[in-house]
Amino acid sequence: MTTLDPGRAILLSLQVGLACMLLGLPFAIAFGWLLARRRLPMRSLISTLLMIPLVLPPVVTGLLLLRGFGRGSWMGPALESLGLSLTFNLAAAILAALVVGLPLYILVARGAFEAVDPRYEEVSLTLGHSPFRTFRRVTLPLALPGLAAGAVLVFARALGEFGATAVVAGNIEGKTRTISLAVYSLLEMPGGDAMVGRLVMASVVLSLAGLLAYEFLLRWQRRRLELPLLFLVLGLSVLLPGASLARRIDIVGVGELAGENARVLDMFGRLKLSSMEIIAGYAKTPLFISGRNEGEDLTPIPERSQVANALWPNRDLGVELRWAPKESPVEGTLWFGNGTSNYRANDNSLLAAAARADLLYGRAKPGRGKEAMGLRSGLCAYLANVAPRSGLSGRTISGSPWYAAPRINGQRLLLETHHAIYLNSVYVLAEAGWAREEREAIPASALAPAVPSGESIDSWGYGITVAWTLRGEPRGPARPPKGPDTLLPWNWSGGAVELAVRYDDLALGHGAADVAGGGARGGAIAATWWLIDEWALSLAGYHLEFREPVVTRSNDEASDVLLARTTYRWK
Amino acid sequence: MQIVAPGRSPGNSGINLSVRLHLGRLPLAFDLTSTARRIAIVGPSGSGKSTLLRILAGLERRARGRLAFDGEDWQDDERRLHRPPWQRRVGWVPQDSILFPHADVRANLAWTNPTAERLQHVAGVLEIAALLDRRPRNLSGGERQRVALGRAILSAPKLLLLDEPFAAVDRRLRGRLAEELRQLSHESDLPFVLVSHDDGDVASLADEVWRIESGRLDRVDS
Repeated sequence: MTTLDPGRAILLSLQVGLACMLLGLPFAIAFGWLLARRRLPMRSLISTLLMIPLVLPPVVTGLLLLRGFGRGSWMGPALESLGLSLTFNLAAAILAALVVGLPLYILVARGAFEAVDPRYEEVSLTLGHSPFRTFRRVTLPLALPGLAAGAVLVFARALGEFGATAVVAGNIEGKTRTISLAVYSLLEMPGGDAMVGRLVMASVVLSLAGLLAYEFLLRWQRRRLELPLLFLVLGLSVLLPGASLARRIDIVGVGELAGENARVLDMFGRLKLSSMEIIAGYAKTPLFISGRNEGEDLTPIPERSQVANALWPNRDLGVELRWAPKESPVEGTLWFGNGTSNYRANDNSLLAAAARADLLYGRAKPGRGKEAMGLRSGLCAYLANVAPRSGLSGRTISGSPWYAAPRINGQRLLLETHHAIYLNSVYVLAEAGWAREEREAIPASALAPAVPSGESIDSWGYGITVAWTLRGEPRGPARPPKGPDTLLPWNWSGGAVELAVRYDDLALGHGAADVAGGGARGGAIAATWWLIDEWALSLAGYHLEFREPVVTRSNDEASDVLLARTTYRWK
Repeated sequence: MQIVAPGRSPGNSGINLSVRLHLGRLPLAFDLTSTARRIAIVGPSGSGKSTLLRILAGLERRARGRLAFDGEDWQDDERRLHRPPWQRRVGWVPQDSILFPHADVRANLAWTNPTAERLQHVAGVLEIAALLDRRPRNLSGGERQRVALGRAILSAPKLLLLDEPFAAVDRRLRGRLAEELRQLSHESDLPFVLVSHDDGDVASLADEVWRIESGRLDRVDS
């Protein structure tokens, strides 16, 4: 093994990062301010040119720098006569990281200057301060937190810089071998794994510290200028390439476009450690397999069972800790959340909590999709304080509300159990749920009548789905049946086909004398054809027999719906 | 507009304003000469009142025309003359106050380094002496308005420009703020131009009222 000093690599990375922060600052201030405040001719052209290193592959940027500053270049002799060399030394590593990071720096600086209301500057001018003094006393102090956030961002980006550095500065031990290059070198060395672990830890710690500092600084500016949250979100989304070293972190955004309505479904960050996963953001609550573990378009029958439809608390803003060691058959999840806009969860900014335990075997475990058998069996308890809110309700498949849900005032407890069995090409999913909602007396308000009693109401339901893959590779966890081929038309030989039937039952709002319940027994049958992995056609029929007449269709005792759909998934 | 102070020779002192300006498709043409010290300009919202104040302050660079105050030429496009805002010594109080958020009330008032006695005096008249250590975000709309007014007065301006000074103040306090404004203006013989969408607010304060409507400015006979 050749010598490789991880301490030296970390030190070099810190040097490069700090140098980028300081050297880039004047450029960031100058260009950020010009782009934010001046009506430059060809402003969009200038701004586009400045952003080029952001979209160019870093290796190409490095190559261009080498052509520009290297020995054979037109700048080379001039630099050499000055005794300067900008290739294969620390200066080159700094140059590479700076050029790649500068667009982000300028972008954030521009945002920081744009966030400062120009009227502050105008007031300062009318008070007799010259433009320069105004910039020094008003503009710069107000943009400072944003500028500092940009500096932190550039630091984080410099830590992750690999491609351009490798080309311009090389991979010279003790001279230009930063953390990224050291990790890469160690992957090729026999027995380098232990050292890789230390370097990865160091970079994760540094990147997370950077992330936290960045968020703190942006919050500071936001608080000072009373900016909307948007700025923060924008900043975080810009940060993503900067945190590229922390490869264990990924940020997930899921959107849905149904007809004309676009909405964000999930928006969260995920940190994956060896046996632990931490999810923070707006994400699905950990209840029900058909709600949580499989995408909405991945279930054998496209519409969720009635019990999952009514009782699943949907999504919430929160933190989830999932403990799932690879070799262990047990998985544990703890979740805390609040503040969603979904009435079925908890939109009153009071704490909600859930605990879930699962037993996993065979195909149900990630990465073991080829095994013949599999099982996921689990329980989840969810508790939320839902001080005055509408109770559990949900809608029928045709969109009618189940019943006029009474107002709840107190705790909502949900217990849920789920079992998924994989047996060759057959998949069985059984889910059952029970909910108890407290109703304390609520005085009448302008909008709602008083709730007199303290009688709790109970809801429960279950659903059993059996699916059979007729063609193609049977489904796995969070993965639909897979055809033998891909998009290429000349390879296509038919895709995957699955047939599914379901029986489900739901009873809502029982146990209180003043509440008329709702719910239905139902059955469904569906056939889905995945022409390619991303594209599916499905036909599903649903039959419901109502326990009580549905609010908007008081004459109906039953409902029949036939749905044909096509779905396309981007990954 | 020509503002003539008592004891000053007319023709030399005052404001002469003759401005042509196109804002989008709305042409504004102001011609104003007045001998009053305290002028109120009223008109519906969107009529260009705030823009007129910004022209007087030198912040509106799209305006073309002539502007003179107290015998000083502030703008004359024929001579390519535009005196920048920081050399005009106007005390501009914009509509939503715009206090510097990174400074407390005391630092906002002391932005132009007035003497401590003067600061205490103005803070006393405006009833903001108790707020000096607060941050702007912890002030009510009316308090902000008074701090902004104090800051402008403490910069020793030659002319005060007040943009809807009573907009953020509830009806109860308007009379008091108007009284404070009158007192400060008389004390230091400070002329002002005040714009408002509400005639009733300003009639008692101003020596002369002008109405701005459809891009025209006309004197209202009182």
